[in-house]
Amino acid sequence: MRRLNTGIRILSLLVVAQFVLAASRGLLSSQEDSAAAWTGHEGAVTDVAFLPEGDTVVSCGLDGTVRLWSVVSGHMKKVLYSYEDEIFALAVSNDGRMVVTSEYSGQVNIHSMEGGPIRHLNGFLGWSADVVVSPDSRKAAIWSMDGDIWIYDLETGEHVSKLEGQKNKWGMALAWSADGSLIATGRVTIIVWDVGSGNQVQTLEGHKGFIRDLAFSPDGQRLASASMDKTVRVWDLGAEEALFTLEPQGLVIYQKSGPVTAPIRLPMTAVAFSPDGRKLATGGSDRVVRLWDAASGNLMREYKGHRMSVTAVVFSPDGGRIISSSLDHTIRLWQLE
Amino acid sequence: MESEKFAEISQSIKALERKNSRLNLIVLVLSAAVVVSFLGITALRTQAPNPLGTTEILRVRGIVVVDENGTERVWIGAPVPEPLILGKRFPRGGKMSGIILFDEEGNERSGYCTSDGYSNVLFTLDSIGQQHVLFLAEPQGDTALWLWNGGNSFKLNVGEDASSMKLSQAEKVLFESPPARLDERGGDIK
Repeated sequence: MRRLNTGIRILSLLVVAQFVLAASRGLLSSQEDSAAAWTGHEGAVTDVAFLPEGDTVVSCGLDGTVRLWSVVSGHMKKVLYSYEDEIFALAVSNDGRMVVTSEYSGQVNIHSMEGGPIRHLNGFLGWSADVVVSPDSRKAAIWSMDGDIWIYDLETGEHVSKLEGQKNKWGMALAWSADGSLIATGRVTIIVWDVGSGNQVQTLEGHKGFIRDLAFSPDGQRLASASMDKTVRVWDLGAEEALFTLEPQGLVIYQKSGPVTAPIRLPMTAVAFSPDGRKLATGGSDRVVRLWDAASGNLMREYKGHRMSVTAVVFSPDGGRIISSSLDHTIRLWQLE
Repeated sequence: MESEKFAEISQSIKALERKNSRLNLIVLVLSAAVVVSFLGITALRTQAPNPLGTTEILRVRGIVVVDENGTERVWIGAPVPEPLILGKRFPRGGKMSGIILFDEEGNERSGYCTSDGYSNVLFTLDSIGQQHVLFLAEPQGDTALWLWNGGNSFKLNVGEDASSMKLSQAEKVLFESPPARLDERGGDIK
């Protein structure tokens, strides 16, 4: 009996020692400030957005579904739509009435939140990796593979105009300014277009890889870009130059013996300004969501929990939370302090 | 008395003849059954799957291997799909057939393919979103081995008439031989 008790004690000590050792190496998730993962998508979650009231989140993914989630409970409310093809991007109109999605099949679909038939946007070439809706909720823009930006009327689904001049240059990032006058397109170079005239008004050069996401500041004075070149740049549109470049170092690979790499830099995939324009959220392949001071570029906080690349980050309408989506099939809601 | 004996013998002979006929019929039926069984067994043995599976040939346009999360990790296809990088697909710029490998996130990381049209055969190794190693043979016999990361690169080309080599660091050429030939062959493929 005494021998058994001694054995149990030794075993307990070994377990505690393993726990302490593992914790010191950062292997345990309890060390991370992880938000609860919202699960339901049966594949990578590619994009996410808040509905205007801020109580519901809409997401899409490679499983071909568009889903609605309760912000309060983190539970899925329902599958809004289900398609056979991968969905790469979505945009919600500011009036909350419509969700526009872009699929690998080349379908861009307008879903009414009030029900009713789905309308399709037709005529462009290939598929669009991104989709944006104008601030007045009347138009949507996509990037055709022939290089043109096609603009559609959201009510009728009819094509109304094009932004031409990037022949055969296809990209993955679009943004529409808050006053509705400008659209930014990002390939490796960023082009800012006047929507009314269809003219290119600015060209922003500096990135060395494909741009994955763009965001105008609410006052329209700055533009943020997240790139495969592992940087996020914030541009002063008045000066046509980068105010600062963020080069976060994130992913550390651990093995039993401890960290085997110094933090490595990986592609950045997502960027968003807070509603007051004072903060910037970023996400990338290092799986970390970061909060930055949008004026100085100083890092304010890191949010860890995703197990794979972050695909999108969005502030809640009140600016108090960030929602992020990931290739790990989950969505996470981060409460800002 | 003798006539009774004769009749008895005659009946015995007839009984023996009937028995003999039945025996002949049984032998015939059994022989037929043996022949049919032999033919049947032979036919079944011919159709039965080879335990090693070496005689089976699959004729398909593609095979996809997925991991425990349902993420596609290996594609064998003719053609293979457009590259998936961080949840979005890029246009490949032409049909390719062969083998593609994906990492645990589903990002395309390597390919061993032939291209339709110009008919190159190539082997690539990629980081997330960018190619870093290219090993290529063109249909007329020219070959190339290129390695690069940003402004650092090593390029080896072998053609019918000449070969060339170029080593660069931070986009500055450290070694190049012969210089002119490399310029003629074109620039970076980033």
